Amino acid sequence: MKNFLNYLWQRLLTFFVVLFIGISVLFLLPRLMPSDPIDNYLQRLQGSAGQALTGEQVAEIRKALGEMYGIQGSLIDQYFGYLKRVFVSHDFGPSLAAYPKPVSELINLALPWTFGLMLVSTITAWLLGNLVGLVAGFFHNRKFATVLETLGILIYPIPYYIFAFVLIIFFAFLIPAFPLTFVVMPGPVTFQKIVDIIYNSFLPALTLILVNFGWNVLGMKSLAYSTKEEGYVLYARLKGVKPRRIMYNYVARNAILPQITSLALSLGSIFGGALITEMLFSYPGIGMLMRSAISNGDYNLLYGTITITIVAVAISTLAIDLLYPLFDPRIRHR
Amino acid sequence: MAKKKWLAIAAVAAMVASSLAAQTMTEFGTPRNETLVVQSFDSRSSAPDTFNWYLDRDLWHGARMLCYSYLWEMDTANGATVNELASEAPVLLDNSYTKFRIKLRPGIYWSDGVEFTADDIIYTCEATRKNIDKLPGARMLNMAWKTITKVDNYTIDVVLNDKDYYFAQNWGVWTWGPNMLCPLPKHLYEKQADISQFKDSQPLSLGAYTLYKFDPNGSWHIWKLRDDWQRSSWQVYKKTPKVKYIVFMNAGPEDKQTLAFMQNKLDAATFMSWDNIKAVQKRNKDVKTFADKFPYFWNDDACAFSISFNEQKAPFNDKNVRWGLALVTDVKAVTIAALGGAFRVSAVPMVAQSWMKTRFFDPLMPWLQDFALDDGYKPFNRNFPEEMKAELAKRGEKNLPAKGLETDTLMGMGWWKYDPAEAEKLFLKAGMKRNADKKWCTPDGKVWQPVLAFPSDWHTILQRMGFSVADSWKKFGIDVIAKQVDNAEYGKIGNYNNMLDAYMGWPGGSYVTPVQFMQNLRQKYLLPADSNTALVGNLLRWDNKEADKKIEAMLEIPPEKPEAVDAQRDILKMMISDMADINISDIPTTIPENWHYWKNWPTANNYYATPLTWWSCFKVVVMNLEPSGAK
Repeated sequence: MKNFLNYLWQRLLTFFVVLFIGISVLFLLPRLMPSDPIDNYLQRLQGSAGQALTGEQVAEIRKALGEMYGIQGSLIDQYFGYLKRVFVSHDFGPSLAAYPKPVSELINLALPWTFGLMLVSTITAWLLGNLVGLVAGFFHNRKFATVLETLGILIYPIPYYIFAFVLIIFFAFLIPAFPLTFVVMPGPVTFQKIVDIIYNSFLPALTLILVNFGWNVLGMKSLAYSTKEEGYVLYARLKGVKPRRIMYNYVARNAILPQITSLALSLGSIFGGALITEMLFSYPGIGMLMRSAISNGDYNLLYGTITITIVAVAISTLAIDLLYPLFDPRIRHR
Repeated sequence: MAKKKWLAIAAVAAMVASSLAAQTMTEFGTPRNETLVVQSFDSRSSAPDTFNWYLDRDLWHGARMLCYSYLWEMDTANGATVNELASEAPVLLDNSYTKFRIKLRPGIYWSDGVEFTADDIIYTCEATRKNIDKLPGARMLNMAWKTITKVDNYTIDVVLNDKDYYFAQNWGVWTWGPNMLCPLPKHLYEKQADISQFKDSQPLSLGAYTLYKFDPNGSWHIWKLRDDWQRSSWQVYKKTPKVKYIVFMNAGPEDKQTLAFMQNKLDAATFMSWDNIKAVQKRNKDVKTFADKFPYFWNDDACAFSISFNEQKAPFNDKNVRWGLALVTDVKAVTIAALGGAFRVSAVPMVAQSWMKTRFFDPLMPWLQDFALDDGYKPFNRNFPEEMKAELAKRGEKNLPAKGLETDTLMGMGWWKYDPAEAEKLFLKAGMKRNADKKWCTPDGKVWQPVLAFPSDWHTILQRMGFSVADSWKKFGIDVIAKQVDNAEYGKIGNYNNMLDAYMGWPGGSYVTPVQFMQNLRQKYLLPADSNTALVGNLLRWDNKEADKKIEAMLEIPPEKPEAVDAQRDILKMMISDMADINISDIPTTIPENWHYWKNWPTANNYYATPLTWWSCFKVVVMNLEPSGAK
């Protein structure tokens, strides 16, 4: 128990250090971007003003916006203000492209969509991919195993955009079973709305599942194949243990360990959204929010969206480190 | 048995007939033949629930075109100003151009039934001034006015801080939207504790449409025709809008918009590549562009494509280098590579809109043809459009305009010669030299590697033009670095113009008049060549003292006087002599429009308005659209 508490303390310390470093680096990153919110605002204004702004007016607006957006003052002052917002008030301030809307409001709107789509597709792809990979690896010299492996090999290398677009052409254009564009009416959650969400999300989810499925199949297949050749598996086989039992209890339990790590990291990164999916399917999510934050030089929104990912990945790795002994008795702390 | 059989056949026939007669519905639950579906300009709105004009609000999803209304709107087919909320043009109260009387049109009502009056305008000015530090959009308006006084319910007197020759455009609409004033409903806003926090998510409308539904995540907005639209500001146009619902949506990337057009799920898009338009037209004959004749697209945009330089940086500070670059830019190849040559070129650094022809292009033509560089070389090629036509004809283009006025109007009135030999002389004169590999070097002997920046795939036409210009320059031996940039970085490049050497874009605009563009070319806005401070004007960093004096003098002349236009022509001549900006063409707006459910879109033969869905004048298009009868 003492060992475990020691380990837990060290691991928590690492967690906070990683978080602090990640969030500090994040503060600097947008400042290195070749764009800023004031330039973007002025560009829009110049456009609508038909160049009617004089230089003096531009200078005054530039100064006023700097004050309004809170991006004046030294970088150190801004950094401490930012740390205070993240760690004390848990607020990222107003969006600089949708001023004065709070960043948290924008994230709260997009996060459930991202979370729902990515969680379902990541877990489904993981379960299906590992199951198929296990079977393909364990029965590697059977025909059906070759077919399953070939399926994974075929799907995995296709660029996502092409793959998703082909599915759109098939299932939303040639056979219009699913909508071309994501449209769910706002309002309270009803049975009809849930049906609409599933109907509209099906195609984006399917593309993500299939692409991740291929990766999981290939990974698990090679793990299962190499585990199957281990001495303890041979021993079990010689002892007459049934193949199905060998597959699940001897091979799967050992081969799955790296895949669990991979799942944990994937779950951590789901908060980053799936930009291409969101763009292709007009799906509302964090990815597009991040994209527009970059385009608009919206520092605060960028801080908000990336911080969530940093925190989620850090928590996932912490969780997997703490939970790993449950899956692998060899590294249990006594 | 036979009777049962006939009954079954009749039942099936009835089902088929009823399904054929059934109305198609949109994904939004509105009847398709009552709904206009438009691709929004910005894909997703970053502030979908904000319609308070003075905050960072939704920009492209319909409010500007359908809901807000302005004192003066722009007739973009001819550049004239239309009295919208105002009943007449602003009345000049003295010769200082600082005192104006605004007369409002009685009988215009907000969508909640309250009449629009002078109180709304005065409230807008005063309330935004009180909250100026918290409203990003209020600065420009409040820098302009000194006092504003109500004369009666429909009359207001305004005193400005500085003279304004373009009061109607500045307080109304210039090109695509209002600059500074968008009236707020006093009776709604005055009830808010803090208008700088009031998003106005269900805006009251002065236009003919009100917000019906919207996606909180910003993908779409639906606008619905007001029952009392005759009491809206649209009454001025004396047309009856037939469209009941208008959807501004993000249909996804261009490839998906193509599919949506094929399925008749989209009626109009923003800039679309020629390849995708052709792909759509192969499968859907109802999808058309502005003209059925070359150059097919609408070319009267407010800005022009050009190549700009940091003219304070060597060797771009030498006009011989700038001229040399112009003469080795193979515009024929550039425009063909970008858009099959469908451009209206312009050697004069301004847009070549049809109504600018008589004011600027025709008078400048004799000068252009006689114009010679310092060595006596005459660079202008008046015959360029005809040469372009011959090249296009060789490539199989059959719908070319007739020689003469039609060609001048549609393809421009000439461009610079493509003459590497003359460019060689100019480069040598500037001290440049070629090395053993025939690459151009700066006077200190280093290989010259200018960076030419241009948009990446967020602007495919300029992207293709950029690569093609770089190719032209490379052929001449310039080791140019072609740099594609994202739109965020692109804004910074233009606003600072200190990081790179040259960039392609649309730095100059000249809708109605080139005055605004010219006033920003004054020397007082120049900063040191490598300054890291954003420029507030003179984004070309053009350093010409004589021109500076001329611009200052021109700004003192009221624009209605002929001397003002004379002065503007003189400034254009100075810009050309200096090659201050390699102007290439007007911006071709490649917009496909779908005639399946809605007909009478603006075309070259029926040019009643700009065919753009993202300018405020889209309201004129909406009023003119007719249902096609398709179910």
